[in-house]
Amino acid sequence: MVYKEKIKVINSLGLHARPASMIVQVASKYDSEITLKKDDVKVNAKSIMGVMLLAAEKGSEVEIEAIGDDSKEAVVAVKELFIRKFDEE
Amino acid sequence: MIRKRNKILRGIPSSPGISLQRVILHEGEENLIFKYEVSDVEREEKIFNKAVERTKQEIIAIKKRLKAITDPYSAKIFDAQILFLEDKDVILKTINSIKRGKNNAAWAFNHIVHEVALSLHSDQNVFFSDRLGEVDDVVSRVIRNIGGESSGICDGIEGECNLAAHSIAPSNIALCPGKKVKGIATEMGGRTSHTSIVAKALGMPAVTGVQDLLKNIQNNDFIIIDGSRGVVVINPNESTLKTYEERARRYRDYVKGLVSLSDIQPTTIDGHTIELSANIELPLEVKSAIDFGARGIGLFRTEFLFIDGIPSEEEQFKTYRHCAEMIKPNSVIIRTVDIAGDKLFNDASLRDTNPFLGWRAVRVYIKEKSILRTQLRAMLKASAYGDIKIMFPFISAIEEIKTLNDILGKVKRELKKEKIKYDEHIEVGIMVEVPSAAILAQEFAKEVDFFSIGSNDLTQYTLACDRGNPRVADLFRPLHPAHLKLIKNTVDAGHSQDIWVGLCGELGGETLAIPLLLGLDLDELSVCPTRIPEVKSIIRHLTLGECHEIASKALSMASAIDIEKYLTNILKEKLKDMDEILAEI
Repeated sequence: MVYKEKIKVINSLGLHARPASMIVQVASKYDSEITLKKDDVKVNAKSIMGVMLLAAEKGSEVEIEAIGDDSKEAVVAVKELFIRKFDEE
Repeated sequence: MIRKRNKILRGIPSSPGISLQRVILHEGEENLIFKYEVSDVEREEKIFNKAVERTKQEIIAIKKRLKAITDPYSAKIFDAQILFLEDKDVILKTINSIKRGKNNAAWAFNHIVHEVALSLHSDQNVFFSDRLGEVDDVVSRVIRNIGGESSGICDGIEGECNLAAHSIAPSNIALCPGKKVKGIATEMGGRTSHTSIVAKALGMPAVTGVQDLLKNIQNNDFIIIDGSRGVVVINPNESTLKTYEERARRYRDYVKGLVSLSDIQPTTIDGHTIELSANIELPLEVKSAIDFGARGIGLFRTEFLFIDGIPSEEEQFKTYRHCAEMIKPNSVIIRTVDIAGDKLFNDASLRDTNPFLGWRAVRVYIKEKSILRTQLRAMLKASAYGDIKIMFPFISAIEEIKTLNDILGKVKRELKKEKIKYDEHIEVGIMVEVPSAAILAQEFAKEVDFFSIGSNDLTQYTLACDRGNPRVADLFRPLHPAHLKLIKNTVDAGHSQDIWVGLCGELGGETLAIPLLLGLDLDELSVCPTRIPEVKSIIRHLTLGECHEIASKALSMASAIDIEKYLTNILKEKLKDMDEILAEI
């Protein structure tokens, strides 16, 4: 099962170390393969290296994609972090 | 790139001696990582896994400590580091590289980290600095832990070599066994940068501040490092090679002659003896200090103990006791840790924009008292086993001294209650390295038992000049009259309050400065161990009377350059029979 959604980065610092950690921690709870895609770069959402190197700054658009039985729940959970601005402010 | 022939580059002479060897290039910033083939891949894999696990435990410990003193959000910065160590992309690929490529763990890991990064971003330069600052730190930690497990980072090097790099962390130089690495050349740094201090301590010739060094060198080029004159020659021709082989031989003979001086006193022709002691960074240097003829340890820097986080009281106690027992019946002056807050807590968010003027040393532990308390307890306990003196660095205000003395008093009372022995009359002094302390020395002297002038920092703060920056390094002149006046004021103020005054900066080991410092009536000079024999033999060529005249003449001048010229001329006359020293001035 494939499920994907697009989301904008709205927290002011972008996907630096702390938000990236939160994404990896949440994504790792799901069995699905989860990726983040920005422009042409696609990374594993369970790899901290990948997420940090995505270098998604404020205002950039990221596509969250999951493949697996819990794909929809996974995408929604990760998206929720973006909406909450990673508890930054 | 075509190999250069007989290319001569100039830098700053940072540690004397000459080394003629093929060169190994180190292109990274700080970590020294060499590639070599391992025969036992399973052992290498175990080493790697253990290093990752150990690093994880270290970071969890740091996180805990930090959580206790800052907000939970700041401590979260370490989550990224922990997750990084669990990152399958990185870990599995590294293990693969060890198994299939028979690569050593340190190289494989570092290589994979960069390869993964490169696969996502073609511009590697922005990689570490911008995006993965925290990860950079964790990579270093893992590599260090790998190094601690296998017998050393330089293991893979076969035979002897010189090392060329943009910069090398002092801890990495200390890890290079002297039997392999014979000389060092770097693009960064200056005469008194920590890199040169450690190189000198290990007796390794070094030239720093060499511009465009890496552009001109390839791996396995043959290079000459002349640390006495600040010259690097790449692929020398026959006549250059001959000249330098002769110079290297003469230098070796000269050093042998100096070491034989170790039992002689540092006494002037007219019978004035000065305390001559050694600055050390590692406990293992105590032995070389004694071999070179030091009376005591005038400065034991404790920063090395704090490289992997804050050490326990027991660990510190053992180190201090060991030093005190080795140097008996002479004394060791132990300086409380002089580190910036961000390094101490390993927290990038505490980084100052200007660390030299920021939250460091006593400024940190007046707020974070437990660090100081532990260190003082360890020093006091060790004082039962030898002659230890306590020294506080980076003092700028009298309140700091009073607060530190209060804390020391409290710690002493604690020990008494616990019935633990210590030296009740332990001497306590301060570094005079901030101009305010030198100016107010008269007042500060009433609160302490001794002063030790830190001439490197005092020069740097007086002249507003970063000694590690090659573009302004020529402004860093310890013989500047403004600096000399501060030294004079400090010595006179100390003596008027009946306390002794020493100097533990690099200036004490500078040939040119010695008659001047004697003439300023310093009671003690503490210098790098390898400098002791030479300083001693210079002192033995002088009289205190003429040193007084030299000092008062120098203090009447307005320009550092004039003072340097004046002293050069005088020394050329006085030290006629000391060829090797004259080559350096």
